[in-house]
Amino acid sequence: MTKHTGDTRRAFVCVAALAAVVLALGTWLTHSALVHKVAELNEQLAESRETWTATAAEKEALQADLAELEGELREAELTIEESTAREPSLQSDIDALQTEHDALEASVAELTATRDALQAQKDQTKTESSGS
Amino acid sequence: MLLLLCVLLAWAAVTGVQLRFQADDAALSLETSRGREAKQQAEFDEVTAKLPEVQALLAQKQPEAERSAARIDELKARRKALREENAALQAAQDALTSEIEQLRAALEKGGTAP
Repeated sequence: MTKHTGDTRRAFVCVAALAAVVLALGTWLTHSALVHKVAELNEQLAESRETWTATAAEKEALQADLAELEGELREAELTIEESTAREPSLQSDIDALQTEHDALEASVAELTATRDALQAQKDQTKTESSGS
Repeated sequence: MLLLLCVLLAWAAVTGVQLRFQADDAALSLETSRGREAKQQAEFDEVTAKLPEVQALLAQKQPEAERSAARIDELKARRKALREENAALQAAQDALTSEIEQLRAALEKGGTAP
């Protein structure tokens, strides 16, 4: 009877030890898998952060170029708009000045002829009076 | 032995919870980071697509703007030249008018003189 009880106890201890070993092994494997998973996720996270940071930097550089080009484009469009609006007014000024110019030229030509005629008349009068 | 086993299991349980929390946290951060990655890439693609369009438009508008500005400069120069010419003609007209008046006066004086 005592021998039988001792065998049962030994068997129980062996089973308990085996279960403990299995449990410890299982725990270690789970732990190891989790550590590996966390490391892998952190690596992917670092890689992803690096990627989006680099993309953001490139994007910002391109956005700066784009903003500069858009500024130049706005300036060009404004120049065209202003020139288009200004041209009729300038052309109108020029037309008026040209009309005035033509009239003045004609007047000066007429006055020159009158002056020359009067000058000739004066010279003739002078000659006649000095002859008589 | 049993006590050691209990300690080991307790440690494993605590560490397991911590590791699971870390893994969940890292997964969430990774998801957020992937979202940012996609957003930045979409914005980058948008700017990359827009850049040639603006460049082409600028290449088209800039010469037109230069021509318009040159045309305005030309018109301004023409107006300035006409103003100067008109001022000179006006001065010549005034001088001739004065000269004619003097000549007429001289002739009248000579004609009426005894």
